[in-house]
Amino acid sequence: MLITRSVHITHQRITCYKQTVFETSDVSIFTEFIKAAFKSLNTPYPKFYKMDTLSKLAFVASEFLLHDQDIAQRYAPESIGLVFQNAASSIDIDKDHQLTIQERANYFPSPALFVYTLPNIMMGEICIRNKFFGENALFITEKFDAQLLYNHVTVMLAKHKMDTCIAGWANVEQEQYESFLLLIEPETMVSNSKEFRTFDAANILKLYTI
Amino acid sequence: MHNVFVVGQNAITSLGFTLDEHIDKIKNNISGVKRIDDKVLFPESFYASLIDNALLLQHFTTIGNSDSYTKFEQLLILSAHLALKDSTVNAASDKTIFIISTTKGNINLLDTRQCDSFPADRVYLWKAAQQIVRFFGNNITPIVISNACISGVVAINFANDLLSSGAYDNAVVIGGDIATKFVVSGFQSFKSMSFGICKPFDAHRDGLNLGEGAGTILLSTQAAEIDAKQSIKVIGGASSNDANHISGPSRTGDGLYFAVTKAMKQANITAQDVDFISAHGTATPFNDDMEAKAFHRAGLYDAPINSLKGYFGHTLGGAGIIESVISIEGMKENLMFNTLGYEEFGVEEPVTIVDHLTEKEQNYILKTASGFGGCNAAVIFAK
Repeated sequence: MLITRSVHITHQRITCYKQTVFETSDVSIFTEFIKAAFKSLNTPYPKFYKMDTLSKLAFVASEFLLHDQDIAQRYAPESIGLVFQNAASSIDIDKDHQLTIQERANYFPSPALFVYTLPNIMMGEICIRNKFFGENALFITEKFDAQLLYNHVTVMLAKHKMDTCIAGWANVEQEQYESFLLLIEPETMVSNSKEFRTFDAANILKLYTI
Repeated sequence: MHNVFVVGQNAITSLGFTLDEHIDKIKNNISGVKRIDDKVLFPESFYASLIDNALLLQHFTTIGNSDSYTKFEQLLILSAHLALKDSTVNAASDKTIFIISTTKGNINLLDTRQCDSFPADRVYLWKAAQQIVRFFGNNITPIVISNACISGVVAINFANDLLSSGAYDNAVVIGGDIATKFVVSGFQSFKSMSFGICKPFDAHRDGLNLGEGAGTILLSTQAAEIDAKQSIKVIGGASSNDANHISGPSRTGDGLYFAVTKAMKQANITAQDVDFISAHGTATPFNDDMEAKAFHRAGLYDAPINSLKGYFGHTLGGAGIIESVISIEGMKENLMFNTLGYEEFGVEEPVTIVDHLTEKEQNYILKTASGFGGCNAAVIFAK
């Protein structure tokens, strides 16, 4: 298996492999940064604006990852899996929802907020956008865990539960944000396979720490 | 690949703290769902299945210091403890891994006026999980799965994949959630809660009941430790996404169909082999229709289907595990439990709903779950 593409978003910068694909010093807050990154893709997708911060982060990472990849054409939609990790669950929107129910005098819980109080919604948004029907798994880990990711994805591929996988990390808590996603594909599906790194824990970590 | 056996189980809900209490009440069609009028916590009254807090405390203090653990942690620890105490699984072994399934864990800690006696970082699920495994003296980093209402089934599938690959000998798979103002208010805002005890697959179903609870399944590859007569195996599972809507079930059932057919393929069985289905069956109008469509399309029209939600509500992160535990107990006795609340057929495709306690030889059973984010999961247990 090969890592055919990777995307890393952190500190107001988006990189694919070592290349910076989006960067801005104009905006310092996350919500503005991620909106600017989304706009740079020129993708008409108004649903983006109603997402919570975690979904926005993961969604933009997936858009950069899958840009020009046509994976929905190359693989059966039910064979495209998502394996994500995250530390803080949906803590930002959890706190927003909590504020709507904290005071009896000011009690107005909203379904539009509440639905995002589940961290796996970010995977739902990516599946809706790309029409992926495959495996979904979300692990809550203290930090990005390359070994756990490698082990699980490897078993899932070996058991033919999926043919290709979008795997990685998406975490946001106020101004601390980071997403790191990989596209993992079999050698047989890639024409120029020598250009890409083998999918193993060491290579995942190398890409993560570039 | 190693065979993965079920070697111990427990469930804690409003019905009781042991499996015997659950099975006894379920056989007698007793529901733990009640009208809740607690204006301090919940501005509007609602129907739910809640655990008696005093009873939980009483049980927990026999095994641990209740000041050190939140209600959520106490519930999961107690469930795992009760499953482990009758088993030969060594919880502290480095060949035993804990896998924890929950949607919101200690989310009540966000309300600092209600809960100020615990460190704020216990709201992080990985932190709560560490607290839980430390109780058992286990040093392996626990795995937390938080995948909405399919978390429990995903956790069982993950444990099966992990153990069958030989990475560990045993997995303690615990799932649970507590009823909080956070979650109740959200479901109320969605207007998805029933005005009585829920009625899965019924023509007059009007929504779900929330439930709190925990369940534990002990899985092991160590066949020597197994009573051959009672040996139930996990033989395959899968998950999927509807790719349709983040809060509404698919109108076609495509996602659940993919999860179910992939699980059968993983288990190397066909639709004709499935003797019984423990469905998600939340009793919301759209969910139950979606499930009926998916089962029908997968060729599962003859396999009797039940939903256990009428007994102890929708236990969210606990549901996949608690409902598997109950269904496995039924499988051992060749019993299919009644779908409490169901009276008149009311879904869009012809499927067979279990409408009374029924004896049937069961060699393969299917457990499914579906949840927010469009996710679905299925697991197959075999004798």
